[in-house]
Amino acid sequence: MTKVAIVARAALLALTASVIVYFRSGLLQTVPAVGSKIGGVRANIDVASGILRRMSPDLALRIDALSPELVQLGSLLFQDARLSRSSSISCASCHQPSVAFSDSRKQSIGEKGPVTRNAPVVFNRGLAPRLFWDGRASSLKEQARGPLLCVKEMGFSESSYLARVVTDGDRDLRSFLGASPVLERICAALAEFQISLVSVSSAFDQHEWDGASISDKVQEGARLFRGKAGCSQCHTGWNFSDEKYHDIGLITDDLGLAGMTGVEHDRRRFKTPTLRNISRTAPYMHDGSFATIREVLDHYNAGGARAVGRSILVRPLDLTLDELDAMEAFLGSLEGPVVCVARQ
Amino acid sequence: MRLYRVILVASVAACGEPRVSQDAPLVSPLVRVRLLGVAPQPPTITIVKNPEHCGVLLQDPVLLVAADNGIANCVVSIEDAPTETQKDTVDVEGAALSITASHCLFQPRVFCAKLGTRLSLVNADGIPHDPHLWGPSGRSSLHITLFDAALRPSHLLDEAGVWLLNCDIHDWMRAFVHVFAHRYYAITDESGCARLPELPTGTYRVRVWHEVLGVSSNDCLFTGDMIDIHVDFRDTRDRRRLPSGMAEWPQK
Repeated sequence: MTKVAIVARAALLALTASVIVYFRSGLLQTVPAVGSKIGGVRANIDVASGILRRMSPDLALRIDALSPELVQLGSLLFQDARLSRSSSISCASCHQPSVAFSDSRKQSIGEKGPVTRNAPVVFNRGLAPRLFWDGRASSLKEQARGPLLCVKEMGFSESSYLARVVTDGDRDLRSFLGASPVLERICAALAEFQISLVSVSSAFDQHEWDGASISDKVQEGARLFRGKAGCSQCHTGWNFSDEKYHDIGLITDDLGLAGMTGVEHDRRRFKTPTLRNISRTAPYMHDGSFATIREVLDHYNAGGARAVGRSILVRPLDLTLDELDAMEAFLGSLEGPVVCVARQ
Repeated sequence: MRLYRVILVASVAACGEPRVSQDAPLVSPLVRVRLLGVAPQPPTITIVKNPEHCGVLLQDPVLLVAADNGIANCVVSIEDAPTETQKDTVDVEGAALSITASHCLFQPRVFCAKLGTRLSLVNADGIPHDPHLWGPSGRSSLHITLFDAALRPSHLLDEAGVWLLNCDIHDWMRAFVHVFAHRYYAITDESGCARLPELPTGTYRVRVWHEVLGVSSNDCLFTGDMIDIHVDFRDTRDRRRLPSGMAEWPQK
């Protein structure tokens, strides 16, 4: 073997290793391929599945009905940058597994630069009545079409995508996609994959549902969350969201729900996001305007930054520094793995 | 974790030897739980969540005392119930109990049920409620937001003990379901009286539970006469865990 060949081979090995490391620390660690036998991940899936069946039996049934093959394909498409105009942006570019399927940028970067809003997380969405900050999609399939077809985000082109798949010799995928139009099948697979993604086994979940111990500070924060602070009026239920739209007194020019309904009363109203994994999903709000959880808490503690049109649920809270600390500890305890719990 | 395990100060009439005899005649004992001394004025709950629906102030519903000091919503049960008759009431799949969120309170607030009863939840208010059901071991068993009356979730009460239901939005809303593996239990009515099912004359260990006053256990001789159990007032709840807006009851 020549010296050049040895160097080239070493480089290839290094590249391969780095790819494996990337996937293990990123996507595959969090979103295992269906049938994965990786120990740690398997354990996470088992814990999540066990809690999910008690926490949301309806979602568990919904996931049981998924097609494993479609979920598997959806997980591949989720990472497939060839879907974008420049072949550089996949769903996972803005819904990054390493940060609980959110984007650590205020606004994600699309084909034409920054998009309008902060990327929401995509787990625990299987029973969601509406998707997007303004609820403009009524199903995950419809939601998947949005970023794919938006020229500012991914700028999907069927002909370009099919040509890339053929060029890459991706026969199984080409076979699945079938005859034109293929967008419907892509969206169906992405939807199935997203339905299978859940996060229900945080330290707080394991405390409440399985009796695991948790600090007094977290418990105090939970009491404040459901009591004095009144956060649970909107961040309600097992997924900490009422799936409704509220004006929380932010300074923003974004029309929010009104952009879809045309109703003045809906101006600046946005859908309540889940608080699960909030410690990993900064920055916050529809525009990513708050960099830290404490900034969010300070906003609510002050009763918002704007009074006119603000929801009556947002009011000055008079929380002390100790109470804010406890609430931050509680919110941190909502961090847990995001796993794919589809049937194998 | 949500039970207040504090012993009541209680005085019990007609209690002592002997215990149950084999051929003893059957009696259906009437137990009356009465408060010693003057009942305190109930505090009010200050409402900041949905005051447009719930009102700004709500009278604390946890201690209801009649003019003759009878205490309502006490759960009276026999701890050493006759074992030969326990089996016929266990695993009674099909029994049902419904708790309704109405006027920002759960109705009923205190209830007894046989093991195997299915508990269903209804929201009769026009605002969202967030019922959270906790089993006797203190673990979550059901947590689902009810936006209206259309959704009626249910849960099988498959463990004996005290189940707690609370609303995670309106934290003063609570209900307690006592689940028994036998049939020797009753709940006191507005006059503080509870009639237990028939059992042989004799001495039994009687347990009395109340949300505020705590728990007492005493040996009582059942001969057919009414048994009076007197309870001293004491708010046994952990004040640090009181729901927001709720105050301790004033001590005597």
